[in-house]
Amino acid sequence: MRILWALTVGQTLAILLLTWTLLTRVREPAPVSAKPTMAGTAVTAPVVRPLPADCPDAEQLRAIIAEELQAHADGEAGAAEAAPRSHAPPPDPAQLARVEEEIDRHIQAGAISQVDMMRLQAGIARLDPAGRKRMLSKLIKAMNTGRLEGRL
Amino acid sequence: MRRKLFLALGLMVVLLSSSALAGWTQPFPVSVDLEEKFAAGDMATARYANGSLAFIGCGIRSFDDGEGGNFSFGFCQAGDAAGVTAACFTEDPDMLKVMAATSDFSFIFFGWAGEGDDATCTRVGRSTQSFYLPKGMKANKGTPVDDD
Repeated sequence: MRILWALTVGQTLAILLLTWTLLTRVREPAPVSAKPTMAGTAVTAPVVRPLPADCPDAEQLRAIIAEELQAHADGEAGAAEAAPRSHAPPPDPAQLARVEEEIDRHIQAGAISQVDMMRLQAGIARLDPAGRKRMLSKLIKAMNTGRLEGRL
Repeated sequence: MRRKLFLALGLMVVLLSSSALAGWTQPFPVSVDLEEKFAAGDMATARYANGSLAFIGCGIRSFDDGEGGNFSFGFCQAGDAAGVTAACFTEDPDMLKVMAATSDFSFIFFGWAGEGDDATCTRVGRSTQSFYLPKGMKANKGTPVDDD
């Protein structure tokens, strides 16, 4: 998506630059004298038409580009704020210890009910990614080795 | 003697015709291999296995993480007829898609890492095919067309 935006902005800038260059050339009239060509025929100079009154000059074009770029930057910042937060909770040793104690308690009991399993999983969800992986592995490993009877 | 022969022939015809009408079946009873860290089976065979502890399935859980986000993980679990069970979990998006696509009569397989305390899934698969459907389901009939 960023690449697409970058290409769009680049294309817009290129078009504006080309327009500006053309306008500048038009304002600098070429010598009207005809030049002989190799074939001996004369090439007529381009017809210079006066610019319309509402045509922006170079300074105005720069201002427009700056304004567009600013609007684009603001839009990206807004989109980033609106996007859901992707980072997980930070490590919390106390929460990790609580979850681990709960798993150990169920292992000691030898079984875990469906309700307790859901409660436990909700607690695991509040851990940081490393903690989640560790606790889910501990839980499932206990089930796989027959130390804990229960279903996910 | 002739009557018995006719009866036997009649019985054979009935049996053969019913098996031909039933289509190909390939039940896959749940198998859990803790050495190879692999489990497989089809849902219908597991569910309708008489007097068996067999089961197999996959699921996805999504929980509020308490920080304004969500934590989602998927799992597969199985138990064979003898009661040997296994499970694994994953956060991998591709594996979650496979798990989410399981349906009532799917065949499922999964494997897990099992190194140390690691119980993450290393492979997950499923397929849903006619030969996993249980007995007793009615065949599709053509929809009656109203001539009006």
